[in-house]
Amino acid sequence: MRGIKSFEAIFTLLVVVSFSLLILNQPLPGINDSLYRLQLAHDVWRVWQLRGDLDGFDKNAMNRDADAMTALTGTCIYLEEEDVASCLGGERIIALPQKAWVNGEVKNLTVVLAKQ
Amino acid sequence: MWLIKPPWRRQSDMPARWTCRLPAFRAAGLIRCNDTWWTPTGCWFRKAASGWSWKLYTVSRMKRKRFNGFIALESLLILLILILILFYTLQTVAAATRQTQERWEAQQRFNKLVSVADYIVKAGAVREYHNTRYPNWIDEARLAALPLPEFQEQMNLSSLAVGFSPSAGSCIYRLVVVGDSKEIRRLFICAA
Repeated sequence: MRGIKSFEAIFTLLVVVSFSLLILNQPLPGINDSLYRLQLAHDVWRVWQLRGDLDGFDKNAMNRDADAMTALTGTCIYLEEEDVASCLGGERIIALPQKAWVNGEVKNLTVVLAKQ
Repeated sequence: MWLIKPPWRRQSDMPARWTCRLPAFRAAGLIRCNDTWWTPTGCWFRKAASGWSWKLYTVSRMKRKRFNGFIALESLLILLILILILFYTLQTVAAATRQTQERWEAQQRFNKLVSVADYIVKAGAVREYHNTRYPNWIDEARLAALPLPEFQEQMNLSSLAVGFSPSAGSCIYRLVVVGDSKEIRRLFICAA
């Protein structure tokens, strides 16, 4: 009986230890880069602003610059509400709402960065 | 142990307080088998050529002796299993701790890079006209004049490098425009 009890105790300990280790060995989440992704989306908007693409809402210029930025970053860049896009993206990386002055009115736009 | 004090002192190997009194054997309910007297608890006394010899074997102790090897083996096995469990647990906990620490350090380093990058593209190295800053428009002269060793020391980084091409260590980049032509470029911020 003593032997059985000892093995029972060890088996219980083994189960408890395994369960604890299972909880402990949960895969760690990757680096949280949500702020950085937001900054990158904002960079895209700033580049369009600085290069004057948004002054007359020149979609050709915006498309051209979006292509240039896609070549640099490897991500698809597009405006959700307008036909401005460097490529048709897959999974979204970040979506940043912005306001622009388009044809005399304020327009809500969304800058989207997506995986190629 | 049921024992009685002895009337004699001849057995030198018999401790005084653990010896038995022969005349009192029967009265005390001892059982004789051949020339050996047994107590109810299993202590026996035997008349030898040199005199009375004795052993403090009880019945239970005699029984136990038969299983001593098994008990020792079982204890050894249990101890071995416990040591293995302990070793495995310690190894796993150490690995998990190391992994968590590495991830935490990587996150810290990344956060520092993001902070430095944001400062550089919003204030540290941007063009200024009439006291107006233009975020993301990099002034190369101001970029070259950034006090990087100071940042490095304040942020407790082994190395810190900023430029238009990546250098050693972990890097992030920001999209900026450079020069009067406003060429679109990546500004790399690297740290180790």
